[in-house]
Amino acid sequence: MKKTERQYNEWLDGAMSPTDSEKYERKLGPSDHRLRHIWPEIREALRDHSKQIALAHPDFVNARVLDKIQRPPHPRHTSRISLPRLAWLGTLLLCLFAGGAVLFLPPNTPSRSAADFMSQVISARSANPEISAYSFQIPHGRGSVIWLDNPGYIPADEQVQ
Amino acid sequence: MDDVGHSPLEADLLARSRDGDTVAFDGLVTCHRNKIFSIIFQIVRNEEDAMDLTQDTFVKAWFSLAKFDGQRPFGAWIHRIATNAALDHFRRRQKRPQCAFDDFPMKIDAASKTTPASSEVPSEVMDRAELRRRLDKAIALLTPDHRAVILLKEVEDLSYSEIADQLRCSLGTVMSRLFYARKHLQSHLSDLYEKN
Repeated sequence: MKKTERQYNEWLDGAMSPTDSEKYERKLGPSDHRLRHIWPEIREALRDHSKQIALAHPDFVNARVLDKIQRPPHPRHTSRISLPRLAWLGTLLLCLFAGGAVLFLPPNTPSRSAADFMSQVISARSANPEISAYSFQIPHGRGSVIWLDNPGYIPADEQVQ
Repeated sequence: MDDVGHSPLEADLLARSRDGDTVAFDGLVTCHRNKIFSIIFQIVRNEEDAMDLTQDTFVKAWFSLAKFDGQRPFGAWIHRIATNAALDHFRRRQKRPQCAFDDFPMKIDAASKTTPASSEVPSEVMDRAELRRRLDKAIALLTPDHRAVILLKEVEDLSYSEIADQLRCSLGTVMSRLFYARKHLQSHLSDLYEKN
């Protein structure tokens, strides 16, 4: 706060101590002294002026104010798509997806090794060199497979070892 | 009168309004409408705008009644809403008077001992009506911010800190605006009292 401004206001409002006021007045010109002398009249004129301002139709104000405060609030005509709505929609969809996954996807089974799935070749020998023969053992004794390539037919005497 | 200076009628209207009684609030509007219009009109200096802002002030007050703590006079609270509504109106519209008062400090040295010469013919006698007319003219040339400060000080008789609180600005800003507003009035009314 500027000292000049504060001092001037306090002096004009009579808020300064008599000693300070006397000291301050020495710095001022005659115009300021006259202003202080006339200031109460200016203040009075300002107040008079303020009192003369009156509403032309005062009841109109009441009517408009009542109309506005008694009126039910308007539904807000905002766009149906807004950022918060989109955020909530995204969250809702994520929740639905997560819920669906929990409900409809099979529960996790304990992990199994490759040996549980892979058949084992137990023999790949054939007496006839033009025929490839493989026999597979399905894990856990669930069966055996014999796979033959190239034979047009299997001779009756063919032996798979 | 209650502790904060409300008359029994006003205290009753206020209590009922806070309970949602619009008829009681209508009574409060009637009590304060002229004062609120006067404050706003002196800042915006346009009757139509002042009328609209007066209504807006009361509507805003109605919807903010829950925030009113009741420890302050209702009048002071609604005056604050009115003053700020008027100043916000100006800030929104960015309208300035033809002679912006912001230029004024360049014309008057804060430490000057004399006021600028006036080209108008000095009056022989201080005439009250003439003073009012000239005062009105001089005030119209102030910016709304300066106008609000001088009116709150001289008409509403608020203290510097109350003005700062009402206008939501610092004490230094109040002092500065008051100083330049007074210097402005001094320069525009000088010829009326120089010869007295």
